[in-house]
Amino acid sequence: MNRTWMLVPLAVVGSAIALLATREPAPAEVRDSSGVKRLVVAAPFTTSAPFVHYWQAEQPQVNHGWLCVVEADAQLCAPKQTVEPVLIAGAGPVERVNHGTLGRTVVLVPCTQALAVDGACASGCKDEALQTWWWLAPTLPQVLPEQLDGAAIARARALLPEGAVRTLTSAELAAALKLGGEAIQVANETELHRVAAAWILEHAPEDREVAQGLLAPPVR
Amino acid sequence: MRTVLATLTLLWLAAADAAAQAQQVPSRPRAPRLIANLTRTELACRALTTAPWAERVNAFWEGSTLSAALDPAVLPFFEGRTVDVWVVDHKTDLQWAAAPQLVDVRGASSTRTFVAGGFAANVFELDAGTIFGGLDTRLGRPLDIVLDVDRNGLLSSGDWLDGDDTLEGASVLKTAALNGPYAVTEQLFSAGTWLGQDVYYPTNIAQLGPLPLVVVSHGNGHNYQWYDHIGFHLASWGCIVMSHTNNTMPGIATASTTTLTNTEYLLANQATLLGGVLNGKIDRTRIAWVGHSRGAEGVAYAHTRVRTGNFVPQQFSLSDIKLVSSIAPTDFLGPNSSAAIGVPYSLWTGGADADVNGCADCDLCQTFQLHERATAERYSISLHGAGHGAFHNGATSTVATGPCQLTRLETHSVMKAHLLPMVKVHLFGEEIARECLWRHWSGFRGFSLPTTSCLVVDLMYRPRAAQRLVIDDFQTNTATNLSSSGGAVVGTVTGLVEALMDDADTVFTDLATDPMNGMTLAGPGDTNRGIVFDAALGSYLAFDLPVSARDVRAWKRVSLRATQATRDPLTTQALAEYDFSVALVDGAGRRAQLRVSALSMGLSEPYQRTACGVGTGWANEFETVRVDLPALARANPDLDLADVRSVELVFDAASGRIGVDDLALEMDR
Repeated sequence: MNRTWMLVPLAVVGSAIALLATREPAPAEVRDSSGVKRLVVAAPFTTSAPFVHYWQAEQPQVNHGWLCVVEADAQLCAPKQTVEPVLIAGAGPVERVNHGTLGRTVVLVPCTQALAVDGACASGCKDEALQTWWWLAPTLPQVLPEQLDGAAIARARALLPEGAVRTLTSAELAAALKLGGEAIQVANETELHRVAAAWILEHAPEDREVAQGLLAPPVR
Repeated sequence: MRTVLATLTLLWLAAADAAAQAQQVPSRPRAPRLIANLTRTELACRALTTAPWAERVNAFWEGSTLSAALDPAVLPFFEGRTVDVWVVDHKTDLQWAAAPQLVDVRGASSTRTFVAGGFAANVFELDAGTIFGGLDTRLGRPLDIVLDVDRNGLLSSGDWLDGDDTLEGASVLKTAALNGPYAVTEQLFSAGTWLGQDVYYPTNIAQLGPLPLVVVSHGNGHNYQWYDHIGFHLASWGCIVMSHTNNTMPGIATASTTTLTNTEYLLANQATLLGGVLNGKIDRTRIAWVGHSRGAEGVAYAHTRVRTGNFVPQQFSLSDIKLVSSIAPTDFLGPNSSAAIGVPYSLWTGGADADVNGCADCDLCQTFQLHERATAERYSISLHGAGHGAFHNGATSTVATGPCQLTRLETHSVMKAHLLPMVKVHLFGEEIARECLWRHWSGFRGFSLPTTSCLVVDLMYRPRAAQRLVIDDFQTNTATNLSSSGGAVVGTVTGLVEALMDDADTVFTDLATDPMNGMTLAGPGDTNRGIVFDAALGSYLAFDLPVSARDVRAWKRVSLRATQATRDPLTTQALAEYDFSVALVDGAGRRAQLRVSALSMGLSEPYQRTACGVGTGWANEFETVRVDLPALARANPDLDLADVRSVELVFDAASGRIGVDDLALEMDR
């Protein structure tokens, strides 16, 4: 056996860890029936190269949004091969970078309104996009995120019972964004995932191997 | 003089080849006998202590007994005759012509005098397990068996040979569960998002020629670094294995995309990746895709996408995918997408799987549906007690429920012992390894495997269409008294139902309203049908052969697949393997009948798992039963194999509720 690891891009990981080290204690947890407990931390991101958001049928191109850590019902977060509930921020599915078996999932919330120009987010992508969170329960015929289009999500949203949507207060959202710090500006999705990997190591260490995979040495 | 003759023969063959090419004959004509009066016959067998005394097989595990048999009643030339018996390394016809000297792999030949008393008196041991399987990467060491009639130490005129120009007479197999001869190097890298790869290859790859590629696509919530047991094992036997990050969370289409893009990436960038160590070493015409869970459905869908033009690969073509293998697959996409059409396919199912659990209430959790849709050669292995997570080596739960659970280590041993022969058949062309994929473990269990009684393995196998003649697959002529081949079906079993093999409700509870209870082979949109019935002790079911099929002498096996019906009182009355007989009846009414247990076969009790309704016993688990046709015929030497009128299933050992499908006559190789 000869497992060869190449050098991990320490600069990326190091800056992400430095960012995490400056964080303040999280606000008190608020419980409701939504299965979403709180937004732990959030930071806006932009990527120089757009990437495909595979988590909805339209597969939009994305180059900005938010990197977040969401604390949620661990049972809803747990991986399954069969049908998993889909985590929605506002009106769109988020990309879950890890499952978060213990209840913390690192997610990319894409801004699907328009591509950012020169690093500036287009109109329609305000921080308020992070205000509501909910789980789309697997009751639709289209049970996989890649099968869900905007109309199906809207229908599901309309059928949700009261209390099934977690609405953050402005203070909660502001606290999470403050904790997230400055905007993340990286070249592409791969670099963004490397930042996300550092967040996984911090917030969901049970998914260490997912992070290790994202931090695997790049080809030379 | 002999050399001169051989040279002339070679020249003649070359001329014949040239002539054939000139006439655009697509295949080379069969070489003429290079040694005059040489007779080919089957000699190798597995000896049995009771009738039918031996089973014709060709594969023998290293360390196990190799026997041979010949019936002087059929070949009176041998009665009373003493010959030298040689077990030699296999040679082609040309090699024999060039070097006819006999060199016994046992160190010396043995002597055998054939006696009166028919077949039973002439089954004899050739080797007690001393023959070495070799140090190379072939699974089998191919051997020929020679009856040296003139006892001159040469393969010469008048001798008898078990072996063919291309196929050996017997083969001693190395232990498939153990690593092969090569040291293995593992390297991990990322080429970007969803292009993380964990690559395994023989450390001495620089000294080797191009090697086949096995791609591993993990499941949802799994990790591409969790397949060391596959990577190290197959690489040690001469494969390049690449396990990749798999985009399973959005769904099956995204997973299939990452299977495709990672395969493409590795092939396209081999010149520069990992310092170019793989450059020119990947045989892109020999690729296998192995997936787990959502990734297992993903590999089937990836094949569909290439087949239908939905994805156009730049680095390989459809025909380069030689095998698709699904470990505990989901079935989100259904018959039009998750189907391996025209490619050998293998399925793995864990009886204790608590995720893709196989319960009647969840169509997308029923693994067998993908197997049923496969149109080329197909294989299935079911492991009682194996959980969903037992198939990978991540330090997480085995995701199992039910009794008698297998550990991850035990599961991996079985995976190695089954996956290696699969790869050897389909990526290396080692036909002999196919026997590992259909012979019942009770009679052909490999070494270095778990000894726990909890290890119950059920196999299904269907060879390619050219190697089988279907008597009844229940797909056409749907009346219960007419087979799909057009013959009458009669019998004394009761309550026979021919229908889609899909449990009609959402539970495995035994209910009179659901005759197909426990069947999970078909889901929405599927069309595969079979039968189920109550078999009282002594009852039978007879399938008439169409006129064109009555001469069965060219066939090697009578094959069917069958299952005990879960939770039925006739199944639960005895927690045991179910035995029954197969019979042939000729035009004169003569019959030959043989219990399948005589060949170490039977139908397992369903896995004793609860839930999914009331009662104990999980989904119906079909097993393929392939009866050695000559062994069956020995039960009545007067049987006219040129005029067999019907094949009967005779339930003479116990009553039971039985499902049956795919009754056929088949070849072995």
